[in-house]
Amino acid sequence: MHNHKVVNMVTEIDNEIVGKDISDTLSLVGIVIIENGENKVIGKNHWVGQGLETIGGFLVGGAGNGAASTIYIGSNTTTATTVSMTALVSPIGTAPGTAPNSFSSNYSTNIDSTVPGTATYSATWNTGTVSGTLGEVGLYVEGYSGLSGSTYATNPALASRLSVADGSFTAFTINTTAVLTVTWIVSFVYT
Amino acid sequence: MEEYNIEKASVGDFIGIRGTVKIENGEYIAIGRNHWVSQGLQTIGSYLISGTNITAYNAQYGGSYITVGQVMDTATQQWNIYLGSDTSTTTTVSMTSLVSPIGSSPGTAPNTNSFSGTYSATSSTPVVLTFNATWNAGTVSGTLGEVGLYLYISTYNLGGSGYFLGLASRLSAADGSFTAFTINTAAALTVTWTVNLVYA
Repeated sequence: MHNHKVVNMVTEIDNEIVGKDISDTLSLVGIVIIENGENKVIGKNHWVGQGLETIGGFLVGGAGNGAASTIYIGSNTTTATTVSMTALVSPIGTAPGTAPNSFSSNYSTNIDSTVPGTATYSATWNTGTVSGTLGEVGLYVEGYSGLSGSTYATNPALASRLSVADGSFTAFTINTTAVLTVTWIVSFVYT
Repeated sequence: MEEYNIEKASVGDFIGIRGTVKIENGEYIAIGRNHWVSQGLQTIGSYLISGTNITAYNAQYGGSYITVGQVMDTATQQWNIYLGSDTSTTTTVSMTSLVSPIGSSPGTAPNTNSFSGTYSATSSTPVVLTFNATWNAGTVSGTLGEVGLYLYISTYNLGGSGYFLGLASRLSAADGSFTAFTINTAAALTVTWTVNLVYA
């Protein structure tokens, strides 16, 4: 748990939050086979900066033709995240949840740094618009269904979840006299 | 491809995508790591083979200049694989093309290419993308020292100026990933490039 204020969040991510749990970091690995007569080669590729850039652009902008990416919140505190999840367990508001009053996203890149790409999503719910226990948060990304690259998902789909049940934070009762802000930072790293 | 060893070997052969969330509500601030779920991998995997952002393009130009059909239906517009002869230049993250492409830059296109993808949410390799490219006998020659996977690079979300087919990943003899060889021009040359999205 990291329930404290930060000054420089990206720095703190690097210093303090190193992926330790299954599925808190996605890894993308490429293997190449070359065949030419008697010549046969198998090797691992190396990713370069613009490969990360285009994926980062997708993460903040989505695939097109659908609704934008967004963040929803929920009250569940007991169900750990599974890779098969497709929605928050107990969304606050009508499923998929009460949309934030404002939402923004951007992507920054510094390909020579240890964090060469960072997508940042910010969602704010105005005072009094959501209430109850905050136990889970979902990042919904607009995109495709299937792997054809030609079939769009109708709505943004849950791509990632932060939950109390995973031990990622401590549940609290939403203070309805204050705004609620969620800032979600997705960082690319070469590993 | 699951039978091949995909343990990390050197910097750059894996991309890690890590998510961190900050929640603020009055005096309360929480920071935690997210957990990716399978459809997150699925949509990123699907994006890798299509590489478009139609909404962003049309928003910038105020109309429907690109439709789904125009962008999505031609596989060669979305990705390709090129060959090169360089054997001495290690891969850097700033590279945007092969060092010494075989044929006019970006290289001699394969005579045929094809793509297949598999998805299984609970598999240890939930998304497997396989890019295949074949050059007919005699169409390329010389030393094979580097191979590039080119994807459709979209920069519209990032303040960039357009779409282009660009180097996303490289396999090179200089990195020690394989041993360079002289292409046998009497035989076809086939490259099978598999990209796995895994939970780490």
